[in-house]
Amino acid sequence: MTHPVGPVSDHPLDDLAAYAVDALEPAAQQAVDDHLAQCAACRAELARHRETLPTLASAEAPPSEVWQRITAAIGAPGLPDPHTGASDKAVPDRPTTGPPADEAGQNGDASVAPVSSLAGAERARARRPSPLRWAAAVAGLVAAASVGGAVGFALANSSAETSDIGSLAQQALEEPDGVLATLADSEGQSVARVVADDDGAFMLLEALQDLPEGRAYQLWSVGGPEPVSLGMLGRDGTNTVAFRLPPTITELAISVAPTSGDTTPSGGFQASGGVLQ
Amino acid sequence: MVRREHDGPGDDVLVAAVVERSHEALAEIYRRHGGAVWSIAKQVCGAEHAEEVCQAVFTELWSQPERFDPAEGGLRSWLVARAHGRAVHIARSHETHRHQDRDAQTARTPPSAEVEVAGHARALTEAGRRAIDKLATAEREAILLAYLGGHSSAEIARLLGTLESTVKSNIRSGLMNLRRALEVEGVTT
Repeated sequence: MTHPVGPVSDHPLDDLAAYAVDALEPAAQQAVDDHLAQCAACRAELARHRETLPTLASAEAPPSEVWQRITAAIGAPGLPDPHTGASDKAVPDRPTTGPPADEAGQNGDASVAPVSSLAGAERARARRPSPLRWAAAVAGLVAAASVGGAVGFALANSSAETSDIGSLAQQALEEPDGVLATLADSEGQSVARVVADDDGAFMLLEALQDLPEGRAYQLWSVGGPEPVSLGMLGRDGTNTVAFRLPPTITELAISVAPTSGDTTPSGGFQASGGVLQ
Repeated sequence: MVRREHDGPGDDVLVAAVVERSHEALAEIYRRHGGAVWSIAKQVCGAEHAEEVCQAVFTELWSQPERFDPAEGGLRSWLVARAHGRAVHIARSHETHRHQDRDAQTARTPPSAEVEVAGHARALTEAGRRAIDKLATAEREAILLAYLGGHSSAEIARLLGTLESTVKSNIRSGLMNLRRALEVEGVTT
């Protein structure tokens, strides 16, 4: 539908202002929508109204639950809250759920790695005209992510001190309906299972190959339009890893990645399986 | 003249990184604008529903970043506008339920427009308060009841005992005067 753009008196300027503050009833709102679709002058006027409004109300930091909801929805549990620096831990705080992040980093294991990694930002930088600006941005993001000692990790590794996570996972395994997903390889062999109970979700890697230094298993949500990284699982083929499983996730898959993680899975998936809802 | 509020990459660069699926870029956008999104949602529809509004707005940016068009305004105003629209929708549907409850029982009287306006004025920034104090009373009431109260222009007309066309006209002149006043305060772009 196209309308000729008339003189200024034909622009619904009063309705446009009311539209900017969402004060119109649905029918009037639709009429403004139709006008905006073919009137650049009114789109510009609307943008000016909208630039004015956010300066009115004072801004307070949102509670940490908001960030937890967002990170669960986008498949990035554990990404530290930018307002508090707090990481949404995968498992209730227990002294033996895994080594601290710095310790895990020293042993060369990829178990604690940035969820989505900064590789994506690096790739974007290569395509942007201002690499220096991006270099500063990436450095800033690393610093921001390091607040509170948490570096955006989703998964708590258990390679060194497995007993507690292992026993929690075993308990979950024994509960009825405890197994939420079974991940099979290309030949249909079960190689990993996901179990869950009140303590959280656990990925039991049961029959994958140990990977060489510099490589690690990476967990993905693959139920959506494109795979979303859920974090790194380490390089041991048999291991138990605690993680948060957002309820929106329907299908999981595991790839082999560099220890820093991929932004998109490369080289195909080692295993995949649906999550029971 | 656009005033840069943040060091580091511009918002448009961060949105480009979100297109590239960078969680860190989304986190930085949330750090910059999450407070504004949260506060307007909380003001309009209450803290309980504001969480849901914030989640929806940032999840939408993550899943459909191309919907943000930098040619048509800044990221903050776009995010806040999305949040405001959602919050108003929630507030009105609850208001409908409240009206039904009120009709069914004999319920409390809503606060007068003057009391409500005074309540909304407390949510303003210092600069926002100084700017809004420069408006005519009818403009100030129309903007606060619409933008922070989430009322429709028809409801405001009833609350203030005036015509809906007058309310819309006051919103428009109020927004234009507000823009000028905020420019004088140096807080607008």
